[in-house]
This record gives sequence, structure tokens and C-alpha cells, in this order.
Amino acid sequence: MGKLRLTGEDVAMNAISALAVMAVFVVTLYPVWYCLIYALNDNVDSIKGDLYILPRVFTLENFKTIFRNVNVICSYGVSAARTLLGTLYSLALMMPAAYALTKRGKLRFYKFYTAVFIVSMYFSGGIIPFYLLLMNMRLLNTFWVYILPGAVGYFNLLLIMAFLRELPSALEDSAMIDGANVFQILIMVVTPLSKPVIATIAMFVAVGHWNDWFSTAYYTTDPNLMTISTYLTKLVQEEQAKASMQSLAQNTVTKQMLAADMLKYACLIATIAPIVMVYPFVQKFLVQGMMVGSIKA
Amino acid sequence: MENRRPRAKKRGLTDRPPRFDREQISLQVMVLPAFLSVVVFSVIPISGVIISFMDYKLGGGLFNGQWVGLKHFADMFSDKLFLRALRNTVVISFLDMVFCFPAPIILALLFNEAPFKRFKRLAQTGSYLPHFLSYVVVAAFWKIILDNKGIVNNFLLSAGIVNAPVEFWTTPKYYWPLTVIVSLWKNAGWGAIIYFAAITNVSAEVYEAAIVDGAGRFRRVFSILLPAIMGTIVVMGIMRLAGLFNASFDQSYLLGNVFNRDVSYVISYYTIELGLRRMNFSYSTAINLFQSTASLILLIAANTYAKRKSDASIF
Repeated sequence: MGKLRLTGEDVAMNAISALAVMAVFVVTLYPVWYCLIYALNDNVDSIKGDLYILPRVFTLENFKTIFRNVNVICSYGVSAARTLLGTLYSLALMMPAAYALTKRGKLRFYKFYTAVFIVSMYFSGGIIPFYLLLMNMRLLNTFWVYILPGAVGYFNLLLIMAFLRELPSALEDSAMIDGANVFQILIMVVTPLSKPVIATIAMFVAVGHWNDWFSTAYYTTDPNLMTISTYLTKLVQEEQAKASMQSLAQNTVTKQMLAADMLKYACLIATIAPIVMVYPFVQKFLVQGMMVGSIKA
Repeated sequence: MENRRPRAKKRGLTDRPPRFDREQISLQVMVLPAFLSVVVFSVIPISGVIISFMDYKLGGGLFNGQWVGLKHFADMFSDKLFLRALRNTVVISFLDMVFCFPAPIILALLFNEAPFKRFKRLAQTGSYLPHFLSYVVVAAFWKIILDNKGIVNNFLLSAGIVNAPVEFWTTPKYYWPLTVIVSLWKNAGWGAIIYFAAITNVSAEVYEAAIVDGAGRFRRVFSILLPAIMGTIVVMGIMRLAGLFNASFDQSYLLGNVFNRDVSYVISYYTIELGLRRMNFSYSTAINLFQSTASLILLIAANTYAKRKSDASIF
């Protein structure tokens, strides 16, 4: 195709679109990079500013400092635990449900189930009734407030169902003839074939858990339940409070403040690191999963 | 692949309900945990909206409090703070609709036309990333970039465009445009994925026929691709319109501060502040009920309209 004659229009289109792609690439990734170079730069040197491309005085000291901080380690651990458990729990609920819901002709009360799921998607009682429910269930200020409430999302369920419908039914049928029951079919036949959609949903759910700062901020008070996102929120908000006071006090900047500033960069990078590291491995599945889902759902 | 029959048209003798054999019980057991989870955490709280017709007090049962009828709903419209939250919500969502809704469409069309396959794929993958970052992180990034000593101000200063650093985050008039920029950065890339899917579905035959007929690149984009993804655009538009009263709490809380609070606080922020901080449960729930009812009406209206005008709709 490219070897064909290019008309002026082609050249224009290529140029415009190529520029747009370049711009998107730079604009999306530069903020992350910018933080990374500050996090990796010696923080006395960083005060001079003007760091744009690469760290000037490379150091891992900032990361060492934040990982010496008990609060950071503790909240990192809580985040990891809730992400792992929460994702497993969520998948354990949604996979069988999605599988059964694809058996539309066989499953009794199919319409009732679907109606309830749809209502749950479009209407909610709002934050207060939900809060009161958590209170009555004695979930406030426990680890379980992270795991139990948001486990099933209808949107995710629809994505899984869309994927399962595309699976060839021959394998299932032959397993059935061999005398396998539906649980065995789900675990031994369907699940291994569903890796792309499981990866996709696991990523969605895991990211939701890792990034959630709201439940920690509003449903817990116990410092032992602090998660990394919420810790970061506090850090950033405090930073801002300081910064606004500072700008009121005519830009008097102490070294200490700036050192704290640099730690913020390291903390930011540490917070996104797990996501960024997993992302390249999952992104292929994500796109696949979303494509199937968005066409079907 | 489709080996089950299409649903029986006639209800009656031919449409026997499946029996409660072992398989049926197994299937029920598979659905129930997820179903119960949704019932407990999403459906039961809906019944809690009745406290918006009461002066609810903490402790005791759900009916602990006096019935006050529509008092809270009447209060809403004389509450200046609520009206301002409503205005901020509508303005922010409207700006979002004008700028952030078309962005993924344009992005998808441009990416589709772009040369350099490999780099393109890399940029595309990169553009999805912000979607997976917490709003906390996103807010922190943009605060850093637009800080007094941040890269944008350094650039503006050294280029001589401004004489003093622009106080992006503490000047109320910049807040609304900034929400657009941050939302674009966070959502435009990922939003495009659904349009990519729609573009992939355009049949190659139609496309080739157009080339043979001498349609140029621009012509092909506007006469083939755009109409082909119109259905998707309409569906996304409906969802977007239904979100007119739902501006992001995260955005409001994390980008807002004492300086821009007047323009940054939205309904969700106000209800959470009222309810969870000031324990004004009933009033907060009333506002929420108003908000979700209005959203639902908008959704249904938009959907009906779209159904009449074109075939696309979400239900």
C-alpha cells in the first residue's frame, strides 16, 4: 500500500496523524517521566530545578527513605493484601455467575437476575444509605470493607459473558458427554480457555482496589488499615496546605519542605510502579477483552 | 456455535420451564453468591432512600426519625450552597461533554490513519495508561506540572509570555479549563478503544470499493469511517448525557482546594461533605435521590430520542 503513489492528500493526512500520534505519546508519558527523574535525582540538587530530560545527580536515596518509613511499608502491605484478596474474591464470584448467566435457556429466573443486575447498574441509594448499611453490618473500620462491597460489577460481568459466549461449545458438550458436571466444566474446560478475559477483569478489579482511596478515607479510621493511595492523598493534600501557606508567606522555602517535596515524587512513583510493571503484560489481553466486550455488550 | 434455539416466540405449552434437576441447582448455586452480593450492597441500600423523607437520627432502626415529607427537597432549592454545587456540576459535565466526548473519536480516527505501525501501537498502549492510574496520582502529576515552579510556568516565564508564575491551582477562573485538561489526559486514550473496535468492524470491501471509486483519504474518513462508528458514538453520547448531574467526586476533592472551592465543589462532593462529615444524613440522601432520579430521567429521555432518530440505543 505504502509503495503506491502518494497524493498530496495522503501526505497531508499522514503528516497530521503522525504528528497527533507523537503529541499523544509525549503528552501522556511525560508527566510520569518528569516525576521519575525528580524521584531519582539527589534532592539537594533538585532544588535548583530545571530537570527535564534525565536526572542530574542520580540517587536511589529518595526511594530508600520512603521505604524506611513505617507508614509507607504498612500501607503498601495493606494495599497489596486487599488487591490480591479482593481480586480473587471478585473473580470467584463473577466467573461462575457469568458462566451460569450465559446458559440463558437453561437457567431459571434468568430474567429476574438480569433485571436486578441492571437496576443495580443504573440506580443507587447514594452514599448515606450505603454508609449506614456498612455500619449496620459492622463492616466499618474493618479490612472487609475493602473486599466485600464492590466485588460484583455488572459491567465486568457483561464483559465475561460476552467472552464466554464466543467459546466453542463443542468442548463443553464433549465434557458433558464424558459425564462432567457443570462445576467441573467451569473449572477444567471454561476457565483455562478464558485467560484473556480473566486477565482483563483481574486487571480492572485489581487496579480499582489498588487505586481506591475513598473507602480508607471515609469508612476506616484505624491507621493500621491505611492504604498507599490514601497515604499519598494525605501527603499531597498536606503538601498543598503547606504550599498555599507558603505562597501566602511570600515564598519562603525551607530545605526541609523541599526534601519532603522530593519524597512525594518517590512516593508517587512507588504507587504507580506495580500498575506500570504489570500493564505491559496485560495490555494485549485488555484490548482483546474490551474489543470483544464492547462489540457484544 | 449457536446450538440453542432462539427463544420460543409463543409462551405456553412449548415453553416448558427448565426442571430443577442437579444441573439446574448447580447453575443456581453459581449465580447466587454474585447475585446476593449485588442485592446486599447495591439493592438493599436503595431502600435507604426513604430516610430522605424523614429527619433521620443515628441509632435504632431505619425508621428512627420523624416523617417530614418533601421538606428536604423543598430546602434544596433555597439552599445557595446546593444551587452552586448544581451549577458547578452542570458546567463541569457540560465542558466535559463538549471537549472530552469528541476527543476519543478524533483520536481513534487519527490513529487509524497514522503511518509507522509500531510506534503507533506503542503510543496507543501508552495512551491507555492514565486510565489505570488513581486520580490521586493524576492530580498530583498535574499539580506538579502546573506548579509555580513547575515546567509549564518555567516555560511561560522563560518565553516571556508572563512576568510572574501563573497560579493555576489557586485562581478560580482557571479551574474549569483545568478539569478539561486533566480529564482529557486521563480518559481520552482509553475512551478511544471502543471506537477502535468499531473501526475494526468496518468491512474491508466497502473500504476498497471507495478507494477504487477514487475517494481520497479525507473523503474515506468522513464518508465511511465516521458513519460506520456513528452507532457507537450515539450510545456513548447517551451515557455521557445521562452523566450530566454526575461530576466526579475524586476530581472535585483532589483538584479542589480552599481557593477554588466556590467553582470546584460538585453535588457528589457536597453530599459526602454534608452526610459523612456533618452527619446531615437525610438532607444528603435527598440530594442524592434528586441527582440519581434526574440522571435516570435524562438517560431514558436521551435513549428514547436516539431510538427515534437513529437505530442506536442502549436498551
